[in-house]
Amino acid sequence: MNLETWFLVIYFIAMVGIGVWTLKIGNKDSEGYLLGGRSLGPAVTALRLQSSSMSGYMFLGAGSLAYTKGYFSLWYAMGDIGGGVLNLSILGRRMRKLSQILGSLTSIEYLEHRYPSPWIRAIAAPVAVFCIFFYVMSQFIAGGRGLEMVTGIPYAWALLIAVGVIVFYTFLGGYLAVAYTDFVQAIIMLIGMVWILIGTMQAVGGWTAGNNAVGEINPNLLTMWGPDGFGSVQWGVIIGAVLVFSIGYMGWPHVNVSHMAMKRPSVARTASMYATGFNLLFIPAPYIVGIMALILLPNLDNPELAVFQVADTVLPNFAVGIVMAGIMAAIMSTADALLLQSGTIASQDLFQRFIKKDMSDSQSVWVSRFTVLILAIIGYIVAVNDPPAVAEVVIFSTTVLGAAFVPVYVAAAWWKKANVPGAISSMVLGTVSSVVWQLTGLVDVTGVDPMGIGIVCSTLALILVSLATQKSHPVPAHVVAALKETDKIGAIPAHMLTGQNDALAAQVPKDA
Amino acid sequence: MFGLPAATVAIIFGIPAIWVIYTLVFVYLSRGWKAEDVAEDKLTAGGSGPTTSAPGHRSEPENGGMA
Repeated sequence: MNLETWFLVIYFIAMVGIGVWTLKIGNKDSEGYLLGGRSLGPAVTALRLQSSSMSGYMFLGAGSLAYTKGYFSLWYAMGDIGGGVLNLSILGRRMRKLSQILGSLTSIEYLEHRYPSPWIRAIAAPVAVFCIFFYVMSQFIAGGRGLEMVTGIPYAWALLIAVGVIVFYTFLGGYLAVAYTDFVQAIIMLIGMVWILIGTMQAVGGWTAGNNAVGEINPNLLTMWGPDGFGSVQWGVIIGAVLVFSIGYMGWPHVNVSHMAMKRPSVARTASMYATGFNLLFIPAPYIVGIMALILLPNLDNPELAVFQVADTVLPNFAVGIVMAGIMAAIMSTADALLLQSGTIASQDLFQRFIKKDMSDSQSVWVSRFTVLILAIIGYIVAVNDPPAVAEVVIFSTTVLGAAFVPVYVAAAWWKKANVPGAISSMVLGTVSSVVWQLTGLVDVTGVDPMGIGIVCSTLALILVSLATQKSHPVPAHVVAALKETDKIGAIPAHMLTGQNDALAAQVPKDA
Repeated sequence: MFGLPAATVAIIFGIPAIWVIYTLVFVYLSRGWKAEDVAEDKLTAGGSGPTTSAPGHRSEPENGGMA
């Protein structure tokens, strides 16, 4: 076994160890399994949020984009750097407080409590599970491919090992395991990526020398307008690129659940500084490395492997092992969050809500665990037999998630007039418009990104339909009261707290 | 600078700078959120549970308009 493989083995054992540890320290009820008992501080919240947002795309897609498009690719990084602080500042404190007042344990359940109708969950849960399942599958594939490249193990076995480790610790420790492993993985990702960047800069003789060399290949690669120059720039794609990774995060259920698991609403404030600091150090690095790969590896067959290959070229063997662990960390930290979220939605938001309403906490946790297992098995079978392209699946699923859910999550916390018909029409129109825009090839015809179209459609639908139906479908008084309480700074009054009950769509405060 | 066109330098340093400023402004405007922790700490110490308002506690309006 080579040195790189040893580093990966140690890393895998450490992740499994965290899973076992959180099984011992975590609460055994639903809130403990699904939200870590709402006990997480700012550092874990911020790094968990960032690492679960940044998938294997950062090591595969970002490098590839930079290798083919030059500095134009940094438009994605420009939005991405602000994604964390935007999410925490707009949703963080309010979503944490409102979810506790309304007694919500999952980010989809939260939507149904805020917009009280079973249709909300009946629409949101399948859309979220569908997108998340494809997203998690893409991470499995990336994990299998990465492991195959480093260790030489055949793809099917490498995939099985990657999936097995992720499922094991998610299965055991639930949200707490995912949060703590994500925290550790974020640090490993950062170390790995900064190490590659430093090694790359040394190899090309510094940033200025590297840029001069890239400019000799094609001067347009140094501009923000793409390899064909300013005349060919597609502003719609640039706007979409910035949107997907800045405001897009606010529509991802597996990311938003971080807000609900914070120890206190004020955690969002400190977490925002950690998030911005992490992003400034981490996000631009893979793009810069991808651009410099044009000099170091000018004849690369597969641009997706640019970051991998540069690491292999410029770093000593032991460092390559750490970097590979960082790459696996990026993949696994997203995959575990997605897997847990899809398991949660299937068990809590579909099974318990619509099939067996009187499930105990313990039963609910076990249904969630088995859902994780079943989804992982299905994902493995699809990924091993007919693996689709990673980048395409990621962009498709995250675009639909963003278009469907950003307006309903933002309005849930901020707009007291947002009601059930508005939310339903927003989710439906956001999903349909972004899917149709992608599948019919309108992106190429119009040069407009599906995320932009989807967000515009879902936002307009939410505003117009909510305003038009205020009299026929007013926002319930207890929801308005909860929103007013969320506006204030202070502890939640006891009479405002809502426990879990069987009539989730119509739940009211405990003493009402 | 750095062998890059001026527009590229302006964008790749300017936009991150805007996010840093946004973060600092957010942290400044949300400085009053500490009051929420103090209120909960008092309640926890008093044995009333972490999320129950103390008698006479008055919630303050949210600071700033960012969050």
